[in-house]
Amino acid sequence: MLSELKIERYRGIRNLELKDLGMVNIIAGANNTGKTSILEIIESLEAPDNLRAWRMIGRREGNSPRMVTTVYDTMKSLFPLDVHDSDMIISYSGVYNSNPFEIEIKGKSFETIVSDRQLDRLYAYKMSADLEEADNVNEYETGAIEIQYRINREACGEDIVYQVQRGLPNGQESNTRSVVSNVVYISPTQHAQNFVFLDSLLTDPDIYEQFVDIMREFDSGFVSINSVAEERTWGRKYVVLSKNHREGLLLNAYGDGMKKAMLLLSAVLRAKDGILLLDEFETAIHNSAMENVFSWILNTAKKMNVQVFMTSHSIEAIETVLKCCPNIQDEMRMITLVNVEDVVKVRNVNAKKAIQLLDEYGMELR
Amino acid sequence: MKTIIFCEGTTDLLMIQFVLQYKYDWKYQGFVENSVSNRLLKRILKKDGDLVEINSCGGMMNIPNEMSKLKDKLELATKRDELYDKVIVMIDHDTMTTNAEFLDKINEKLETDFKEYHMNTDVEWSIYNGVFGNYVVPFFIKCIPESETGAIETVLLEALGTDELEKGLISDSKKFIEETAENQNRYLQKKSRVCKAIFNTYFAIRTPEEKYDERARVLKAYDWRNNPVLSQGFDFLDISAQH
Repeated sequence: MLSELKIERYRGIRNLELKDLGMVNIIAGANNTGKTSILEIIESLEAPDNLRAWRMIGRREGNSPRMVTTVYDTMKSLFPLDVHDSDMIISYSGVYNSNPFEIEIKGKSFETIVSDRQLDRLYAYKMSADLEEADNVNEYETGAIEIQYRINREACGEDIVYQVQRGLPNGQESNTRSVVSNVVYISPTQHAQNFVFLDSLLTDPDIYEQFVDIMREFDSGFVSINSVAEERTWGRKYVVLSKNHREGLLLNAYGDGMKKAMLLLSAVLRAKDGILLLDEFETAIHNSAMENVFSWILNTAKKMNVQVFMTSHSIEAIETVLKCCPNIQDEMRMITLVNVEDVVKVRNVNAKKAIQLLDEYGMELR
Repeated sequence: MKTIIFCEGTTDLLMIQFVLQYKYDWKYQGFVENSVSNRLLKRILKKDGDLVEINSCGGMMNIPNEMSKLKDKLELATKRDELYDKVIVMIDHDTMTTNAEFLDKINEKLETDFKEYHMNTDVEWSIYNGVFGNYVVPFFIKCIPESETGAIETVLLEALGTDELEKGLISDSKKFIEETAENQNRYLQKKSRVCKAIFNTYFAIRTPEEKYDERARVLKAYDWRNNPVLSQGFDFLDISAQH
């Protein structure tokens, strides 16, 4: 379990310290206090020296066809803001399963010249349409960042990303050193992509039976969810069997609430013996379903040895989660981030104290 | 500015409210009461953007417990509007040792070191808040009356005797209650209880049907603003001027 986390430098965060973390940690705070950044740092613990992993973490917002974030832009945005090039350092530390860890990622930006061949290898944006002239070797000026990774003060490799680089080339990746072997991150909108960890759902018949009971709160005739091969595209699709419909329905025929519940329930199983990160966990789930869904998630997380970090803006959702499992309250922490004169401060109380602050004192938890 | 006032009981709460409303022009905003017992817990008043919360604690020795909860709130607050700018405590002067006993319990609950000479004067209460750091809250413990034993009713009775008839009624009530207190040792063993009984006897004559709002109407009719006894006794409630 992650018991302490200190983020010295990451994006806009400076010296944010979280101590006394619990099995379940609810993180709240105003916009721009660093809630999602904390989740990103925790997610990175699975592969802190892996560029592809950082690319996935930093590219959270996705891309529209017209707005493209390059690898270079993504990586640059992770380093602290408004610093000199010599201060491009990401550093964080903590204690996981009683083992202290320290991560440091140094960046050094520079200008360089790359050739056409290098651009091809880098999956770069083509500078010119006319690259058929094999006799000409074109060269282009570009910015780049050299990234060096250190874990527990040992060098763990380096990467270079170029400003013209569109993606990451496939290739053999060096071994990744994990601090946490299994971290599952669920974004606020991931359910809209009809995503489910179906394999995880099928690991335990008792758990699957409980999952079906919860799904019946959304569809009273729910029978099962299945992954079916799509003949024409050789892909697979999720099909839900329900007594309320004559034939199986594609998952995307269901509402966001059911899809989100399905994703969350399967995610907690997928995160077995690891960490589950739920960003804005209440999105798409109606208050009426929240208590049952989260009671199941938290009780199952405890059974599966999953540590949960969840962010929220909703006081109703926070209150529901704090109160839904009295048996876990002693292991639950309510963390509030507060921006005071451009410095983020932390209030960390246990669930019982949080409930007292809310119910008896009428105080704000967010 | 946000002020919280702790007092012993409902009568004290109402007296403070009257002074704030009719002497210092605060406007009544609302109340909170216990949903089971209907006991009045607090009343809230506003003036020019300032706020006062008057909390009735159900007895003098419950005040330290309520202040302990306040300390909890102040230590854990994450919003500036959850903090208070002034804390006032108003207690009766039951016996000559009551103040010391009260302060012992306050110091035990708040981990402070207030002495009797800190009463009836402005002092500071230091608190550490995890988000805002160290901060100091102005603190005032008012003991009524200051030098002799008694209760808030002592001051009020003095103010309510506006003519010979009222003074006579108060004097007769006082005589009856004091004789009763002397002739038995089961009831009225503290001076403050005697004062409250005199006050209630006088009001039982004025408003025999024990209607709360009738008593309130009587109190409302007094010239709170210019009454010299009230002006001196309750000047600690001139909160806006102190800000």
